[in-house]
Amino acid sequence: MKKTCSRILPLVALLWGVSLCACGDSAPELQRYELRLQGTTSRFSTTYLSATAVQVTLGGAPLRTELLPSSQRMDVANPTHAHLVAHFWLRPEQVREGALEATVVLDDFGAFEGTDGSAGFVDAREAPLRLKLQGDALERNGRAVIHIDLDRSIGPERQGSRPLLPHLRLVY
Amino acid sequence: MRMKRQWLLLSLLVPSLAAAHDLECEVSINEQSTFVVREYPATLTFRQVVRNIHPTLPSTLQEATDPLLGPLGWSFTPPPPVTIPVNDSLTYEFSVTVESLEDCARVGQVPPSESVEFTDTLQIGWDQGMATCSARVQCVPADTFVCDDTLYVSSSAGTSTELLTLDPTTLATTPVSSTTEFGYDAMGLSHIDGYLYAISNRNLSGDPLPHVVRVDRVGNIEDLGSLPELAGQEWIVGTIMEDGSYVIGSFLGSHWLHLNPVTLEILGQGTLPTTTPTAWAANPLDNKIYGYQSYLARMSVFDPYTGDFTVFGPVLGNVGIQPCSCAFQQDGTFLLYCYTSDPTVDALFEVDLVNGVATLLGSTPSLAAGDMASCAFPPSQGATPAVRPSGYYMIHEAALERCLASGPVKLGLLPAVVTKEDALRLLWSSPAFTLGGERRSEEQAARHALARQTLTGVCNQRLFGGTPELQRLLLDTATTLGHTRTMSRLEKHLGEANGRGLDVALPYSLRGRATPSHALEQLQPRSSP
Repeated sequence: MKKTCSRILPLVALLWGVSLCACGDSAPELQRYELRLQGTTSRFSTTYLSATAVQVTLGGAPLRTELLPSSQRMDVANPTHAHLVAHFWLRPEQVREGALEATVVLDDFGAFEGTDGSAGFVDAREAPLRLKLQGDALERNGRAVIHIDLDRSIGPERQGSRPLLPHLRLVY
Repeated sequence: MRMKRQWLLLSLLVPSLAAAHDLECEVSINEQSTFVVREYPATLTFRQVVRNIHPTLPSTLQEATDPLLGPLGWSFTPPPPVTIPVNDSLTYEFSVTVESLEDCARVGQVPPSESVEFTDTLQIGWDQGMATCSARVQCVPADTFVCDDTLYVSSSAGTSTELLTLDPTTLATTPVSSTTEFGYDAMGLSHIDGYLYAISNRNLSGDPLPHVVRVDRVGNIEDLGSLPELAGQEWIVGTIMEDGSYVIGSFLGSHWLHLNPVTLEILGQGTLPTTTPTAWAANPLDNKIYGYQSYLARMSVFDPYTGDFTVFGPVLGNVGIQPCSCAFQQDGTFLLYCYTSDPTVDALFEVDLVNGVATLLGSTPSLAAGDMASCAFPPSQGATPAVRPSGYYMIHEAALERCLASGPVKLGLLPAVVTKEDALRLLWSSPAFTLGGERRSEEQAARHALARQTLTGVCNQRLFGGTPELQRLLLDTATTLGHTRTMSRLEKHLGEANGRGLDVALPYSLRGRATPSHALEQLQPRSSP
């Protein structure tokens, strides 16, 4: 997994840099924003999740969004990395024009390894991540980071499987 | 590299610390994050706590939504906006009664099934952020044990007994139920009615006669009464035969008794030609009782229908002259759980009944006077066979190897899965992207998702026997013309069929350790399934 991280990180930094540069542009053009996912945990040494779809809506109307390859097999138990899940676009002045909502659909199954040596799969079939974005904070920072509390979100083990019960917060 | 990572982390964290208000939420159902309903009627109390976690300022809850509870007639009282002072929290509560398993599906707004599950999700919003928290309810049929390969062990002293499950892979025990009224032993788990039968040699009633008791999954114990034939003996071994009858053996007199556990009618009785085995269990493959003759350190086989009794096989020196208990898995694997020369440690063995060799599987802290039982015969009706969803195969490489040992898995227009690595590439890549990071089209995504379920379904059939439903769906899949909508529909049905036996324990022989990181290392991004 280390190898994958070292391959992804420079890419993330590069993409992010590009996005920040774009923030300074005041032309009324579509601005690109980031949706990221990061986990916190003391119980799991790894937790792999993949996203399969993302939708961002403004006042109920879908915005242009792009799910990114970095959303695949994310080790969200790694606290030092906020995985880039998707880009979405809107004009900066639009952020206060209506409710901004995002849904990230996860692939059916992920996997976990506990710090106690246990391991199994994560059942994410019933757990799309639904989020309400704060327009002004998004505009200020160019991104929204979904923080998932894995210790509370990964439920009790049952025949080697643990359900995903999302406990999320958004930071910018 | 290190600098960059720290810089990234710092810059992501700083904005969150600057937020003016901050709330967090917590949802529980009967004070648990996952609540399992096993008895009906049951009251479910949903508690939603919204806490102000800003160190110095009050925070205002601007909005709160809970899509599950709304349709049940509940609303947030007081309704948002509500300002929560520093170090304070707001608690919402809602109770609903679940009358039955079917009613559980109504409350959860999900289709009825043998195991109903639903999630309650609370979303809260404030001026600078939002948070989501969830809890889950699972409703299972009342009372009876699921007839699968779960191993049950008892720990009994005086009139107290604790019943636990024993995981043969990790040797971890998990409490199931306990009683202080019945010291029971000679357990047999019936595949006919899903109850555990046992003999309470000591109980609080004061009756010196042993009693037959019936234990359900939640620990209720029904005293079925006594028989004169039980008098004067301590009954230490028991097992259920294929026809549901119950055979027990006594410690001192080497008596055996064959009875109908429901009517307590005696079907046969006698005395064994040697000491009673300390462990015995009926073999689902030949319906005979296999036991461990502790004083001889050898195996025995006993037919309670004819009275034939034979000691066979070599002396099992590695097991030794120790008291044991035993159980069969449904595939005929014989597991023997024994004391060791170290009084603090017990050992679990698998005994090969053909060549009589005992293989040590592991050791565990000792249980007092333990007995063991499993549901060795296939359940009589309405049973769910063990199957596993694709998540299981993602992380169990040995299961994939075993599945593919009987040949490649054909996937219609996609290349057949031949090797374990092919299978892992298919299972770990999502319908959204190939392993190489190329976006799949809608049609490719549907094909990929169906291929993943097909591989899972075929492996479920090869390893666990599968179900008629699975067989029919796999046949439909093989003949599908590949329209996106048809593939998606089949994928959904196959996914349901592959996930239906998740609560059923696997046979011991298929319970390898899960190795997610190792499986992930086997992926080679060069090909794109």
